[in-house]
Amino acid sequence: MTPMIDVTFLLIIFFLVSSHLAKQENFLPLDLPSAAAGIADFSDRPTVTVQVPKDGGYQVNGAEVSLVQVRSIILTRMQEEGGGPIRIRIRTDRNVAYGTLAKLLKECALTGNSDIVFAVYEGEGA
Amino acid sequence: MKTRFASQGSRTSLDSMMTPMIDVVFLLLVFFLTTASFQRLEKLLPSAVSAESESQAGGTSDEPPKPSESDVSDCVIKINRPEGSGGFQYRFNDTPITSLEELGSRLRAVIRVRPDVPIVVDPEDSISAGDALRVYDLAKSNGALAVYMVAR
Repeated sequence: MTPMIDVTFLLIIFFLVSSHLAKQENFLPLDLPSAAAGIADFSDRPTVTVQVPKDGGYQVNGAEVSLVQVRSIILTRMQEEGGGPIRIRIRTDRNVAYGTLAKLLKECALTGNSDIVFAVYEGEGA
Repeated sequence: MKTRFASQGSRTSLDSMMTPMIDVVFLLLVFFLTTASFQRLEKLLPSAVSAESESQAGGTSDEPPKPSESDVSDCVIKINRPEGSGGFQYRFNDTPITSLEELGSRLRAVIRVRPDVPIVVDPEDSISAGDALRVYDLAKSNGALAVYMVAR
């Protein structure tokens, strides 16, 4: 009995850990802004994550993309999800200039999506 | 395993009970080590976009609304960082404000009167994302229902 329970526990742990790792895949280590009004993410809406590293540029799914590509990726994803609006999650470094973000926000808005969220750390101000 | 235990019948029962316990303890140790996330927990700050250039183009004039009526109709917070002075300068509907605290108290006063007043955060291009989102967060955490970031 005991070896079987050992193995079962091991399998449980294996799947728990691997699902945990799958969630954090290809996320850049970024110094996110802090905000007190941040909420926990429990939604399972289809999401496109755009990452904006400190040295400029935009990244989607780990690949460096241009603004035009960001827009086409979002539109493709919207079609895959049935044409409805999707969520766009922006992970930006806190030292990125706002001009970079403003252009990205405009592209997002032009695709017709208004559910745009910023990834933030919990805390008082930056 | 079992045969060895059986052959060493002289062993105390404590010995044979230790091994499964150590197994379990190691298992728990590994479990907590691997599941402990060393990354900081990320939260989401819901945002909205105000395409200022487009809304202005659609309007009758390029000038911002008069402060008297815009005090209740909508609030535009401009953020810039003048050369030379180290700090930020905020403009709350064209009223210059120097500190974040003062901006906060002004926002609270407006939000108390009308929580759904549209608040537009308009940082200059050179302002960092962290500083822009701090003002956005200030409005949100003071109870504003509609806060927008400017898209250009």
